[in-house]
Amino acid sequence: MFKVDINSENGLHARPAGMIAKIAQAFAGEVKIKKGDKEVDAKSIMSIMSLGIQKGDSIIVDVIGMGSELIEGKLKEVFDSFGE
Amino acid sequence: MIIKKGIPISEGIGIGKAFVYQKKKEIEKQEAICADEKEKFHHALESKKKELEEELLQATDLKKEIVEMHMQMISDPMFYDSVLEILENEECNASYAVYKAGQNIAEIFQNMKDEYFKERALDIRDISFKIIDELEGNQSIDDIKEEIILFADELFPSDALNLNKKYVKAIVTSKGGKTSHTAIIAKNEGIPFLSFVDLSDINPGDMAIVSFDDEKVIISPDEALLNEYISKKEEKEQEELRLLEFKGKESLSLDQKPVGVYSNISNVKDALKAKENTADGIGLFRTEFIYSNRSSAPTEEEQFELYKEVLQIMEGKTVIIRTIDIGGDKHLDYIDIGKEDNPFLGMRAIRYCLKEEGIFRTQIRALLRASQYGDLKIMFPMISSLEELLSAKKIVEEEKENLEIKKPISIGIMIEIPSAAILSDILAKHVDFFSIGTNDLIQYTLAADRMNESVSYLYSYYNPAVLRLIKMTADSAKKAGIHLGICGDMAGDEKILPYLIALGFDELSVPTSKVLKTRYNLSRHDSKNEELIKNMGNASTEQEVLKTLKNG
Repeated sequence: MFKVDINSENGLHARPAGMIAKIAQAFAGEVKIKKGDKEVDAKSIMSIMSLGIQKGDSIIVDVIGMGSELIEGKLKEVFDSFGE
Repeated sequence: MIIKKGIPISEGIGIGKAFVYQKKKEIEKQEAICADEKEKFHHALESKKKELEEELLQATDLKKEIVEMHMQMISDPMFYDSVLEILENEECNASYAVYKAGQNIAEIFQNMKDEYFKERALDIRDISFKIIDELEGNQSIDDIKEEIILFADELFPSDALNLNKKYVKAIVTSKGGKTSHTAIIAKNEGIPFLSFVDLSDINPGDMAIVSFDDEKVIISPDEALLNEYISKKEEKEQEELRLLEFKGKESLSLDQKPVGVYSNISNVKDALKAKENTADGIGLFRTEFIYSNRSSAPTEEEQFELYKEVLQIMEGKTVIIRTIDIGGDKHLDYIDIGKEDNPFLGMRAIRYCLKEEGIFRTQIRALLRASQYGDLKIMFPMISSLEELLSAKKIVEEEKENLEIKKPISIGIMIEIPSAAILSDILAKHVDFFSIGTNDLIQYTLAADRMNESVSYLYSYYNPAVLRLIKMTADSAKKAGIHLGICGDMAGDEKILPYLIALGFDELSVPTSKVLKTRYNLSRHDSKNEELIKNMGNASTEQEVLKTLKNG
């Protein structure tokens, strides 16, 4: 589980959301993204985007299952590359 | 046999079977057996996925992003679960379940505060309708794999980008005017196009003939007529062959005065076409298209690479790049201009750029950097006053200093607002060139909306008031000794050409498909014609203008 502060101007827009969903889909375990009291399945780009994550928001990413560390690393890379 | 009149927009004759393209808005609910509908849904989903995968392989950068997003949305678990839930709970048809699931999710987005997320609702509706089309066997533009005539109420720029000349032999719409983006693309591709045609009684598969010259569409023609048009079409193709002689020839008037025949382009593909047709330069590179069909503005690097590529294609020939002209009829997902009662009189082009400098500065930097690779000139659209011009020039100067670029850069403006034409003697002292944009100049001079069918009779460049503004601009440019070009539709009109060269135009910028024709027309007229200038000055109506031009 790790926390991300969103700093990019557009928030978590379609491109990074799509990349996150792609990574999550390839993973056998579960990936959850939590903003405030709402939690969604990160395998769905629509669910991720339905959180409406904007600049200044903090989110919690939770990866559960075998090999979760590897997936966490990959997800962190995506967040980094989009300036979060 | 049915004959329908239309307004001719792009030249040529097209013959083929009717393809009726409809954008649906709603789907009705029907009772159905859940298991069957589930099966149908799965089937449609799979074949759409396969289609998108194939599309992705062929997609260029611009399209790739959209296709990728659509692929992800189509296999999204949230969407999928929602469709199955509706199918089970409501025992309805698959199309309705897809429609409703799409609507429900779109609504979540629609209700968000942030504009960006709000606009994603459209993508979701778009993708759900793609699946519905698959379910109902509706035809979509991407599916066209045979020679057809495309009939549609209206085509959006994104539809137009998908047009394939190989299959689309002509376009017929009920809405959309002479200068819509679809029109621009059709002209550049050389696809015949008629608009404002009544589309009732046209069925998919009907044989159709579209003729620009006759301003009509003929549905289910009899054999004699069909043969007549087939031979007319062949004749036209013969003429095109004759024009090939003008490939690579110098652009000269009859009395041997060089007048550049430039080309208007929107992308790299057009630039290649301009080069193939041996255009003497690019008179107008519309950069709006770089910004469209995507979710965020192109970066400086992306733009730099693109401009550089176009300059390299043109191998040292002049490339006039117009800074972004958005607003009016051109909207972008990620730029919020707000709702305006009169968008054509509102935040458009340079007005927006000077207010929201960020996007403008990024483009200017990319242009300045690319200018090292050829003869790049910057052109500002929609200049209405000297103050605007000076503000825009100041930004260029500032960025030039920031980038430490020493090479001087040519700056020019579009003359497309009457105030700029009236003030052209003053503006000429501050720029290196003028390019007259006739489409907007006519619309603003005559206060006639170029998309409004009821006033399209006013919209004409043979109007004497418009011609006076053009002469005024030409005289100012000549007096100041600056380069004078024209890049609107008028530049490619063979009737007005003798007058333009008599006024001393240095450059005519036409669609890529008209370069050779224009070079040929140029070779038939003298550049000195005081008599014509005098007579044109005395013409007081459109009729008299046409008569004067006819008598030379």
